[in-house]
Amino acid sequence: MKPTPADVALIIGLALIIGTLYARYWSPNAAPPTHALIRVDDAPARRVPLHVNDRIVVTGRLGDSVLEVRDGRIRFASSPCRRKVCIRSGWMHDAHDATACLPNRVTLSLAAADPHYDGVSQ
Amino acid sequence: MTRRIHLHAGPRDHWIAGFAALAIVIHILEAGVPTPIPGIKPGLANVITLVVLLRHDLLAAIWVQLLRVLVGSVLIGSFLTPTFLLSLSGALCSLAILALLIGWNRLLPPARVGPIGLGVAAACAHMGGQFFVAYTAFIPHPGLLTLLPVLLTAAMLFGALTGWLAGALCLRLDNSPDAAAPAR
Repeated sequence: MKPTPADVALIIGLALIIGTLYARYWSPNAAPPTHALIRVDDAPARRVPLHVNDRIVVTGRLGDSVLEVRDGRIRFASSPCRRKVCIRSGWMHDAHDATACLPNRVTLSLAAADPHYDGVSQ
Repeated sequence: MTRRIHLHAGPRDHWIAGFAALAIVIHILEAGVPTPIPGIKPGLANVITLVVLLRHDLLAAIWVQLLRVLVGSVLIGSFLTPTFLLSLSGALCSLAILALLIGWNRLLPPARVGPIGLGVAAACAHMGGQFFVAYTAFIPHPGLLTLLPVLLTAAMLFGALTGWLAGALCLRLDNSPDAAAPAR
């Protein structure tokens, strides 16, 4: 039982469609992030909306870290650490992007809005 | 006044019922096999539908498929439940695609779609139709869409398997000395 050329064409076509669906629903930036989660030490995360341009100052172990929100993105603008890894990692803009200023014990991650329902049964 | 209506089952009715019974048995056996993700199952009952389609005609395949969905659901106890509606919408979609492809094969015999192509197309249409109904009628949540490519991948693999099985079965039936000429 061998596939005919039309079978092969059909299978390739369907595989392309399925591949597109994987790219659409399984890529990490599928849903744009709506807010950032900022954690200092063991304190609960502070939620910062990304649609409001803002400068946020958080106080960590070494001093104040300044985070800048602009156009749905967020970055470390300044931090009292020595190597400035957090600042060099630049703007965070995809859902589940994350960076941290470890010396100052500040972590930053992006998340999409939590849906209110898992599902609706009728 | 009562009038008696006589229904005569002809030979064609008999063999359609026979194929449908085979498909129903496979359908019920499969319903007892647990699956890792809801919605994924081999769909081996469709081998029967495909064999009927390949050796006989589209109308017979439609009969076998719909009888299988109806009687299968009555016997399993899912008649008129969401499961039944999903199964029925999937069956209707796969029949529609099979009808289209049979039309295609008549128009363009050199570019014929073989049993494997038919199996894959029918399985993907079955999954697509089922998913569409599930998403629009039962669980309209965007999270469900994440499952779609996985379900379609499984449909494609199992569709190729059922198509290959149906094709191999037809070859064997054609070469078998016991096989009578296909009943019409």
